[in-house]
Amino acid sequence: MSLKQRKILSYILIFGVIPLTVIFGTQLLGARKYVFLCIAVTVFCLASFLISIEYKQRTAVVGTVLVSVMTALSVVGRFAFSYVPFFKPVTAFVIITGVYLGSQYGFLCGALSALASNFIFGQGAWTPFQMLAWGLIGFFAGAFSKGLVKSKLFLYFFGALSGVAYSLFMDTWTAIYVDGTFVFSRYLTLIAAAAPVTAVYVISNVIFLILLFKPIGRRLSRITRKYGLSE
Amino acid sequence: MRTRVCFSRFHPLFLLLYYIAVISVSVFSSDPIILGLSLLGAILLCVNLFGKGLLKDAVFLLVLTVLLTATNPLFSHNGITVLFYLGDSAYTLEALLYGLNMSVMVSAVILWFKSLNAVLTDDKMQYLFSKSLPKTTLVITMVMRFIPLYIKTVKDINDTRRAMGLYPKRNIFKKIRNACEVFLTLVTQSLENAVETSFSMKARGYGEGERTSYSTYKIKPTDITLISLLAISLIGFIYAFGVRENSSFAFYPTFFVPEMSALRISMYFVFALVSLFPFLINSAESIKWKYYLSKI
Repeated sequence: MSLKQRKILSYILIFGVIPLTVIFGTQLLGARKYVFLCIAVTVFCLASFLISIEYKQRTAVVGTVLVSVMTALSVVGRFAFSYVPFFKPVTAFVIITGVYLGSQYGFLCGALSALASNFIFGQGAWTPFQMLAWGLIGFFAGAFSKGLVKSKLFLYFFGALSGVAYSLFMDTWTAIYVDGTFVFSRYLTLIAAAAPVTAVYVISNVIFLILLFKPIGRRLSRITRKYGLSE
Repeated sequence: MRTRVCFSRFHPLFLLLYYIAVISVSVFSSDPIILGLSLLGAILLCVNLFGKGLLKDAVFLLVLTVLLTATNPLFSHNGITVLFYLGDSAYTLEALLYGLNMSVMVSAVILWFKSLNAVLTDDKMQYLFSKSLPKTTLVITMVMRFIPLYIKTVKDINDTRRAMGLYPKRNIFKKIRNACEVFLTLVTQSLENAVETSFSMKARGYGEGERTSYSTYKIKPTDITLISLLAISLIGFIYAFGVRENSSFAFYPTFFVPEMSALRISMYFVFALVSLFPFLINSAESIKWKYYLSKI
């Protein structure tokens, strides 16, 4: 596929396929249509994001390798910190990648961290949602990168917020998956059940950002200076 | 794990389409017969793949089923057959049945995904997506190579630190600090190597044209036939359940069984064939194997 074809394909996905799926899905399908629609729309969103990353910055080799290193590090972080229970540095890594390598690479790092770690821990119907959730965290980290570098407080707030948002996003999916439609009481129960885990997410995100943001940022900027890669 | 099951030797494209078809039919159908057949097919395939290793999952799925079934009437108070009252709210038979149906669906999907991890391994995934998403696939390939490399490096760094007299501490904060230092060493080392890798890639002409990929998969007439059969049966499902049949199984207000038309029964038969296909293929192959052995 040429670059132009890719560009057209991603536009077709966003403006054509997604609305059509929603319209026909709600009209034609039976009882569990919302589950089907959720999965379909998420997969199309992911696909259009990935295709748009494909057609831009095609020759940026260093960026591609760096984003794979950051993704692999975020997965390995689960092992390196495995003797401290419930601590996962994935979100912190996705945020750091988004801030230092830009929002597209942030999205790629988030989405692929979810995919790669699920190759090890097991894929499931939740994989696309996890990919989209972490991908969007990386994307927004890239979009707010100037503010995040400048203000420590904003950075920690962003880390905490993305922990909460991730949890709420995944609970929304679970609620729809279980009931076939959105039952608010079920959603509240799920949120309440997930509250301790959400708290751990928030705390570990902030701790990892405190511990890792500056040192890794320093290392990344050292590498870019040493090899003359500054954009 | 027995990776040498016959089903996993089909072309990756057929396998991917097969899983998409079976899982999406299971996810958005609420028909108890379809879901039962899907669960049966998933269980039989998993038994072929994992043998006794499946027992652990069976326990987990049974607990999940009981939990989902028993708690559903607490969230949903629809249905007319009241079993008993919990406080002010009714605990109904219909909600209980709906919960059971739902948990069959959840278990079936979990088992399909479990077998997908063993059948459609990551190298096959890479083969499938390397044409349409070359950059993403390249990143995934590198990530899957880096993960074991970095785990080994972490072990090396830990050994080195121990040799230097830096033993892991018991205090939880010191533990985190220690893990961070090890991790940052890994980060420095891997970033440095990454830049070397990218220079090497540039020198070999990365980005100068279409990437070729090494793959040993060749699409055979059998695969094409199977893909078309799968497509035909999927179109049949959408036509039969989406367009033609107006009545379907319902749980609320009371359990309702739709009329068993010829079309409906034939669709159940087709889905049974689709869902049991991996098991049938595997069994046929093992019978053939035993037959040939007996002839020697």
